Amino acid sequence: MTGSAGTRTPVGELSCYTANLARYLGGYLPDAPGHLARTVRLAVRPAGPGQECPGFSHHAVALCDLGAGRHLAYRGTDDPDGFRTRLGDEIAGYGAALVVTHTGAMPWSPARPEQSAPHFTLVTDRQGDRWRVVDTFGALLPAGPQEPYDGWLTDGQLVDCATAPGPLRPEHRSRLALAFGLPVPVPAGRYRWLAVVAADRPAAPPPGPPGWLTGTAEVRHHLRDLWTGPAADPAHLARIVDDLWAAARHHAFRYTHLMRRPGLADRDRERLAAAVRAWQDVPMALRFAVDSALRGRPRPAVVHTTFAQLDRAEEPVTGLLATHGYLPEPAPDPGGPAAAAAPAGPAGTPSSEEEQ
Amino acid sequence: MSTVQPEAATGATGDRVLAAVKRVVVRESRLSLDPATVPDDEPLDGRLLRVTSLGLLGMLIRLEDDLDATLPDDIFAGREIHTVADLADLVRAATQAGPS
Repeated sequence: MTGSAGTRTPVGELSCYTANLARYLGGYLPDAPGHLARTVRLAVRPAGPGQECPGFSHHAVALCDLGAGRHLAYRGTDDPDGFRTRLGDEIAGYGAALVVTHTGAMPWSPARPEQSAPHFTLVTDRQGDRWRVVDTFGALLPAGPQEPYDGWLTDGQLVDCATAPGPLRPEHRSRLALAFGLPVPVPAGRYRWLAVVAADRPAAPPPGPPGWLTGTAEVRHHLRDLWTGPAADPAHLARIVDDLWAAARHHAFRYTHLMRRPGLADRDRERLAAAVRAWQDVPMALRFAVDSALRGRPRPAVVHTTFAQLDRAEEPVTGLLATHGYLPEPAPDPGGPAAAAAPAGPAGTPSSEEEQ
Repeated sequence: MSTVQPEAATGATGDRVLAAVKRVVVRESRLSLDPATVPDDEPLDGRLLRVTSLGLLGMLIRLEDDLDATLPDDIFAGREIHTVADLADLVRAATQAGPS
């Protein structure tokens, strides 16, 4: 492996999927970071019977829709030679491709194999048996800091990065399926990447009620219940706390993006900064609550207090978002609290093409 | 580098808390030095100490266990914890309140 740590870019502050997706979409959209920032949301599909974890949708538009009759779609194979050939074709045809890599197998990630999670990595060039790999993402992970990476991998190294160190867990499969905001098929196969495919219609919009909670109040009520209700299982919650970490990164990105807008009043910038801090506190509080519960000291009030602080911090900036073209506050779910208890409907049912 | 500030010594509990906080920040930063030499106003993530946000999280849990304290419910609701003294103040308040 040859390469270097790159400079962290604003999109590098996004999540392990969206950081490099934003960079990839820059080849198709005039302002991909702005597009992502303006369409951030957090919608939740409560886990229904037979589903091990809730679904989380972070985008209000289908990010797999490249426009002009083109979509991004997962492809998969068990054949390493076929993987390299088809990935090379994708790069030759479109200039770059996103590969599903796994943090526990990526030399530039500190994640240990048992901590591994799927990740989107951008591959921008192929020279013989070497591949130019660009990973814009940077973050502090439980195993240590992961810095952006820009370098060259050999055939074998690329295949290793694309090989999960162990079976994907349900939350991993759910994140892959919902990476673009709506459920999409994730084919079986050891190696996966994203290909540009022709489409005769625009992608469906990301899901909403029934089955999905999209209103801010409903989503937070559901999350509070998950973390503090009588059925709260800290071992289970530990597996989805990263979904809320991603939500915090997306919302912080949205507010930071708006803060850069020229002409914004200082008072509004301060309010946006407060909203960023409030979101950053959320995954900390949820991890603390999980760790506390695991050692027999549940702290539901920490979760309630942190979400209450988030509500207070976001309330003054809601109008600001709408004024500047960011996603407005969604209306409450028509089903109200009953919808929260409903099992996932057809939109939330994992596709039969998803990995089993 | 200055030495421990006198205002930190607020009785036996204060001393115990401050000593525990300095012990865990030194351990978290993987330093080999006498914790008592860490200044109260030393930044948690600065030239001497290297405490990340996730490291802070682990320290909070360790401090709760070591001191049999319960940190306040609003610990992640807009609090600013930048220095050793900030952290000690937070923990000291929890130990004075007693475990819940």
